[in-house]
Amino acid sequence: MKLTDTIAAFLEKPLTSYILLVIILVFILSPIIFTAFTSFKTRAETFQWPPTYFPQKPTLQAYEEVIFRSPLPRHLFNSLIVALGTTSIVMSGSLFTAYGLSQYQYKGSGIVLLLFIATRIIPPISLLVPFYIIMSLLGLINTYTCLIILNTFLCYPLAVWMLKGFFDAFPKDLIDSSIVDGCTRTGAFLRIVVPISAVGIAAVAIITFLWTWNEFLFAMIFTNTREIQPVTVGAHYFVGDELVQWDSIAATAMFTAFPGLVFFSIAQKAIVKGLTAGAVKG
Amino acid sequence: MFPRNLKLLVVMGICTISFTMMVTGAGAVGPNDIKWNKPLSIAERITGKGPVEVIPAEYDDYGVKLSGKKGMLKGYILPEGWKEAVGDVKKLVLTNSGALAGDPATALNAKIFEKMTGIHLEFIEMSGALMWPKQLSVLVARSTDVDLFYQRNPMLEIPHLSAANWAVPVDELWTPDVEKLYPEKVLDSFKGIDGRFYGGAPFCFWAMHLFYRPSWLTKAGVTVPLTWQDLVIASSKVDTWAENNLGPGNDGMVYAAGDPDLVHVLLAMVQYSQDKPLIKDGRFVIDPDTWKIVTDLWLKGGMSDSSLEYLWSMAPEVFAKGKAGFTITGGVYINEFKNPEFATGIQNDWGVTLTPGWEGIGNRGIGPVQADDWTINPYISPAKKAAAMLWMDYQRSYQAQFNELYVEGNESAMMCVYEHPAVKNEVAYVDLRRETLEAQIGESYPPAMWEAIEMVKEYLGRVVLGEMDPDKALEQVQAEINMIM
Amino acid sequence: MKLSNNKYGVILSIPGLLIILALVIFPMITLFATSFFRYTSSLPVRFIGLKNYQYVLKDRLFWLALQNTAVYAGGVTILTFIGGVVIALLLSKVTRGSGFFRSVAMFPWAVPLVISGFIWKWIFNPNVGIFSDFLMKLGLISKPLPIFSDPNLAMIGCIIADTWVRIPFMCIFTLAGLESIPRELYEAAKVDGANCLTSFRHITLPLIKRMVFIGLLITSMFTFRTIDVIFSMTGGGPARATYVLGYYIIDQLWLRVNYGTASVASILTLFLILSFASFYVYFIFKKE
Repeated sequence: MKLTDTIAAFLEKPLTSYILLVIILVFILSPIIFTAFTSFKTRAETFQWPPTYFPQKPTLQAYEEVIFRSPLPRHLFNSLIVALGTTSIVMSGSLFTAYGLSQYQYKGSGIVLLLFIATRIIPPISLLVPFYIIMSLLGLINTYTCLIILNTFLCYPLAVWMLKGFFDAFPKDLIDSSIVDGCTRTGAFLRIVVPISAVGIAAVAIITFLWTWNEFLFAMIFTNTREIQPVTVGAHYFVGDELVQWDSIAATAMFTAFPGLVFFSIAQKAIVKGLTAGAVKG
Repeated sequence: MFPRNLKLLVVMGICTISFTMMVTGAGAVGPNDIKWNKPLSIAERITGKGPVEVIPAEYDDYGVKLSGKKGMLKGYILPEGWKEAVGDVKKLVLTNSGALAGDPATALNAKIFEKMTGIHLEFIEMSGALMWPKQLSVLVARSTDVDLFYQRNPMLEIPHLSAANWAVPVDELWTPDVEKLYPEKVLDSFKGIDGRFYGGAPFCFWAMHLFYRPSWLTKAGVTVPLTWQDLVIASSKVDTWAENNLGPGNDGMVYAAGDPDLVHVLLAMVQYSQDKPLIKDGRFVIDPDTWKIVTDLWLKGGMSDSSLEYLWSMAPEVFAKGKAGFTITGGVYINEFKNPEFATGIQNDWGVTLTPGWEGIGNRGIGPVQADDWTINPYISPAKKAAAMLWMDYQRSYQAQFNELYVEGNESAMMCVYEHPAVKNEVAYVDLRRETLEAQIGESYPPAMWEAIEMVKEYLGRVVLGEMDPDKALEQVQAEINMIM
Repeated sequence: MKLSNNKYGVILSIPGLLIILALVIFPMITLFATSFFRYTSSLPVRFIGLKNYQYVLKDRLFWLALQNTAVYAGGVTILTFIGGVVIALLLSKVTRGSGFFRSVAMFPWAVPLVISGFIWKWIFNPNVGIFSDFLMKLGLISKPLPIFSDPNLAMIGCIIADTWVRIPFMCIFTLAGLESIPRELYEAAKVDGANCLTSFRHITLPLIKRMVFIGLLITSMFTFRTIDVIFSMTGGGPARATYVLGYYIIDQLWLRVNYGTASVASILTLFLILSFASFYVYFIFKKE
């Protein structure tokens, strides 16, 4: 008993939490930090052994090469288009679906909800073959349309699930009173519910964007050329054929992680809320 | 109303007729309309030589700076009828492994081709590992996005392609006279399972050579091994010496055993040196002595365990940084190792020779053909097929192959290129490379060969990691191979 | 015309249902259909009944992939659980600058899994990476760890690269659960003499169980099917030590070019996940 008491006493001190947290977070962040350092090293320095931690002669050479002499900018552009396209379609559709499932439940709505969740369980790789055959029959291989459709499939059910959680928690009297005042149901939705839930909706949009941005498998299989491939596939450009260009990969990694880092810095609270609202309730 | 209907009828009529013509190909021309043997026989056309001259600035393209270097800008003679056959095709789309910046000879040849024919070659640069899946995607989709596919492993890929009719046969390009220009035992690897040619422009041969560090060998007390058996012993001694004197991280030998194709090459080199082929009666049979030597390189010799993860470019890189006593890799690295920026650890201390032979038999330098090639997408239009075959015809010509060897250091596929005075004077180790190239053998593999090679790679890994006894592993891997062939 | 509330709800659901129909039901049917055919590159397509299933279920590689996937998914889930819960606990206690700490804790999630594979591949690289160098400087090892030529280390390396990206997700779920616990419970416990360890065991754990389980379920399901990290780190090796189900399916597609067996492998993977998930869900709801 004595030992656990002392441990407990130690853990209860407010300062302990801070210290432990800082230590752990430093560890968690170290890969990102070191990647950032590596992106400023010269190619030769990345091959040294023992490896250096801080770059000895910081240089922008890797960034220069990645921005001006590699296809990365195109890949970033492709990722952006696919992510934005997917997010807009998913958000416009799922808003209504989630609202319907939440406020206007009908006889089969429980099943519909379950169906949505079930599609999330299906591993994308299981559908690789049929999707491929379908997309090739439609002539959509290697197009933005194809990637947007596939990513919509991946993100739609979860967006519905999360938004439903929000709408479930929405005070019904606000909606009811506006309908009494003469608003249509859709009007009430668009003019009252959406603006007030804006934070949660934004969070779901951000999460959708990030999931699409990070998607690799479908991007790899369904695209052929640099014009369409997003950055998760394009990163392989720096690997293999001549040598592994660690400095360029590090610079690429910084670019790829950039949207996420920005989102998490400014919208962290909203994202947490968005992700968990559905779960806490549902 | 009457005139309006009439106009409509006329328009519809014209549309129908032209559509029918397009679809049935009436009036369309294709590769059959090229008279490959005119104005001279193919062999004479493609061995046309020109002077070696300084490349002017107008050849700079694809982000590759060629001006100031030297190359052969003329020589190849176009066949008759090519213009009509090609029609108004102005562009061909090809995949390329890696960035074109790493293939200056390809860039030069593409530019020369464009100036000759007005057809621009557009290269899709792709990471090597993703090329085969991409090719399959395009073909399954019957897409015409890509006209020519770069084949990194034609011996493994062409069997699949020919079986599925996913490549265009190019027998017209290969007459007996033409075949004589290339190493005889090499051509089987470009044929499909039906015996027809599907690859038309072999280039970038990788003939394996044994590279070593003279100072290490001297200090470890060994001489350059001439047989595989000697290599096992020598690499072991060098490994011990390196560990003791240079510290951990230095190995006797490295090899790119992370690449299934190169595992197959190692096996083939050893098996061929015993005068035994890999394919017997259409099945892949691993000779027990071969397996013993290959596994012994790790178990008794100085081959590093980390070789199991090295892809084709990593092992030579480790050697270039001065961390290994031996390596076996392609002749193109003769050029790379001379470059002090790349080969930082071995300047003025590296040697190259033929790969080992078999004790009592010889056959030094023998190995399987490793060449890259292109195949043609069967779904593109006849005019594009004609243009594609024209590119193939040029790319395998004396002029183009000279550029490959002279400008980039890739082994030329055409033998007589090695006789050119410029090559003899300026390309390093010309005689060695020619000798090696002539010793390469091609075999026609069944489609399941690729799967079989992955199995071999796995079992080799298990033996090296100590998970399995080598004899047991051989028994099992051969059994599994027999099930799929 | 005013629709009844019911009908309105139905109409709102239609776009979603269409998506489901098009993108799930239809491909699923194709998948099942293809699995009964001999559909390869070289031979004519023919109905062969259960032969593909027999092939896959007798295939040594399938079971090897299954085993590796179980180890991989299990490892990631357990480590994510520990890491996520610990960090969430700490985050819930920290009041000053909590926004900053929370943002930072989420950063690994910004990195796509493939990129994480590359980053950790560099860190673990015995020739140029900092991991071995760090351990050597600490005196724990004498020569660089051959992470990628040792089967166990390679698996551990992949697990770490995957866990690293998933910890923020788990952390968020746990945090949400933690924050829904009313403070009064803790205060009451303190009055009764409990220290933080006991109140953790008796108050916190039971009440966050639900959130944690959901987080773990989602994490394990996702990990069961991803190959991103393995694709960039080890390519399935060495000696197929990191050869997971996703890779098996890819080999059917690209190495053997056999769509029949690829479909079978996909269906089997799907069933595995479904049965695991339903068992899991049943387990949770039973407890309630």
